[in-house]
Amino acid sequence: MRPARAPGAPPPFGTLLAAELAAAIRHPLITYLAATTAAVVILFARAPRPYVIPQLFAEDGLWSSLLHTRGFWYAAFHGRPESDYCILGNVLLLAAGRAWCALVHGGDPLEYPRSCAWVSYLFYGAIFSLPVLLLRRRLPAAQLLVLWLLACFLPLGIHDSSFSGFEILGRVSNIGFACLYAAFLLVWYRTTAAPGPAALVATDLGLLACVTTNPLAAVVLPAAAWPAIRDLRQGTRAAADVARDPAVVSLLMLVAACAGLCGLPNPWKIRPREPIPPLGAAAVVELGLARNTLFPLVWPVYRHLSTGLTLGMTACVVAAIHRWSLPRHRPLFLGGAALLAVTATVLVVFRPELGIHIGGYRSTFPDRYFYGQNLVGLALLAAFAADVGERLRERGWLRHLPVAGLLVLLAAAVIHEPPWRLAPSQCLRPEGRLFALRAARAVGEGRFVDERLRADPAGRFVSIPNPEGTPKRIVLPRAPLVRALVARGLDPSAPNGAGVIPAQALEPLAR
Amino acid sequence: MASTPARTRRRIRWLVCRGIAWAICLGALLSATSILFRGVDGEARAALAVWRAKKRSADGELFAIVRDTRPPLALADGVIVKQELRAAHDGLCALRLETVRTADPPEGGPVTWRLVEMVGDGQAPILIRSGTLDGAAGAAGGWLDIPFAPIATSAGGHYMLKLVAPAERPSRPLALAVHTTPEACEPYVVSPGPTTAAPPQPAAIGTTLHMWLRYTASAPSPSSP
Repeated sequence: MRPARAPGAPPPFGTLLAAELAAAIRHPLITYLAATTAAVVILFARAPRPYVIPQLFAEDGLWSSLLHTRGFWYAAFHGRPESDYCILGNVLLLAAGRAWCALVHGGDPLEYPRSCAWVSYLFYGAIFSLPVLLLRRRLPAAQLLVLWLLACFLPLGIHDSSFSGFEILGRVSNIGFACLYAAFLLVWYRTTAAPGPAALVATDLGLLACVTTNPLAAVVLPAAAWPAIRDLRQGTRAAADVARDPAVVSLLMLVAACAGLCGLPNPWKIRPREPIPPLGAAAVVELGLARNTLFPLVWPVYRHLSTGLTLGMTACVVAAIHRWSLPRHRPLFLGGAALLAVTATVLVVFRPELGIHIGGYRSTFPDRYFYGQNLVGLALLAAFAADVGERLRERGWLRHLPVAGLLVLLAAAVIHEPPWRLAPSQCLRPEGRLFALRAARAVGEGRFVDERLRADPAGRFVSIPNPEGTPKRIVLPRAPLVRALVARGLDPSAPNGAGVIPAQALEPLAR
Repeated sequence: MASTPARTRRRIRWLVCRGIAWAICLGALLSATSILFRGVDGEARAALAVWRAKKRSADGELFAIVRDTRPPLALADGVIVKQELRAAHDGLCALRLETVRTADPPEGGPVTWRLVEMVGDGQAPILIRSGTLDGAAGAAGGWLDIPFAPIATSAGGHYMLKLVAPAERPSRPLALAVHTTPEACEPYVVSPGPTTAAPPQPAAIGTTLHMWLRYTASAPSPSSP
């Protein structure tokens, strides 16, 4: 028989450890990390191409070249050719990819694209799992779990023949609209949770990162002032108290920092050079309502929609929210609707060429412009489901209907874009695997440049032609690139620049 | 009330337990992620390898991404066209060149072709395959197919395709499509026929014949080098 413990004596080490382990498993941060890692695996399974056959695609190549040649801050503030807004988040992730490559691959530049893909999956997994951390006291656990799953399986056109499945997951260039979703969640948390000082600083730094990556995220900032405005209107707090509120002070500092770093973006700078006729009414309805706003709800029948159906469904959604949402969530739905309306307006007015791509409900491409708004729509859908469940609380099994509906939507999404089947979009641009060859050839031909991309035989960088698209060249550091090529048996000093090319170098899959 | 040293010992014990608990949780998460990630990676590589093997045997391997179309290259007047290419896999068994489509079928005599391997500095190429084909008959559908016995060890090989056009110029000669391409690919070289003394003319940097390389249908296993 175990001797009784003396009163006041500390518990045995094993008992204490077990208790701490149980507490750690239930800790919100561990839950969030578990959700993030699970999301990373799901997203990787849906779009494995950027990691399996890594290549720097589109702006990833351009911004990586700037990061390597001109440094972090120059790339962050001048990465876009028009310099219309800064891309702090994108460059931050590319720098993280470079750091990961240095840590895991010894700085091998040919492994840099794979490192960026890994960082991209991690970023998307962390953003899609953010509700698990921020909204755990705002939504019931069932709605929270389904929201997380719906985000992970949101249809992204991966199994279409378009480039959507090729250009979002695993890439850094299109994370901007994920920042829109992150900003929405951060403001939702900020206005309802009354965070402590540390959480407030972390939240506002997150908002700063979002706004300095996608200036559209600034649309949600006024909503962060809602608690203070409400208190002033209701007279529950004096203006002096509100002015001294750390949340208000922090918000003002955040706005000032955003304005100082971003400036006021000039939306006219992002107009395409060739004039495109303005969208007709039907295209505006499709782009602004069906694709931008209702898509999380209507995607199973998207290709069967019409202007009349879209307008009718919008009216039904508005009526349902007005009828069944709870008063505490009304500001949330109003704020979400305002955000979706502003993004729809920006896309309709300043990117009318998008209407050409999705004209007539034929296609959901380019999904990269809409997935952020669709995630916001999913969050609103989860909140609405929680409200309806709350109203049906006394109705027995009926209270589970909203979650059941979301589960049906989830099942349809998983069947529509199954992660266990290789999608056609993952097989586009097979020439990406020739990057090492092109790098060897570039070195062999002496394509060396300085940090300003001027030809220089003693330059510290190599300019590698990128035939498949933009940018037309990718610039990487010379010395580590030459070491990496020699290690792979691609001797840049041999004639023709590539020497004897072993089969292994051409087949990155066979590892 | 416990003495200060006892309280300190208790606090240290608690911190150590908490640290170990968190280390266990984080370690379990990292291990699970790594195992699942590697599993998905293996499945994806296998699926991509199977897809690419099927595509290579069905469609061949694209020689170069081509873009804007330039004036076509007529296979007439005895011109000699040379295009360098590199094979990425074993089992190269056919080349396919894009031709210009016309409403009526093209006319013309036989086209002689040679496939040589450029070894070393390319000054002494080795003849690998050769033949003659009826260009007009073989160009149905907008493509000129040049099949030959598979080259078992073609992976990494640097080859040159040489086409010799018939000496005459019919009213509708067979014409090869020429495109701009980024500079990473070799431009083709065209030499006038024997009736003129002009030197060979390389095409402008960034132009190439639109070519597909076909390989025999053997999918590589994921573990093979």
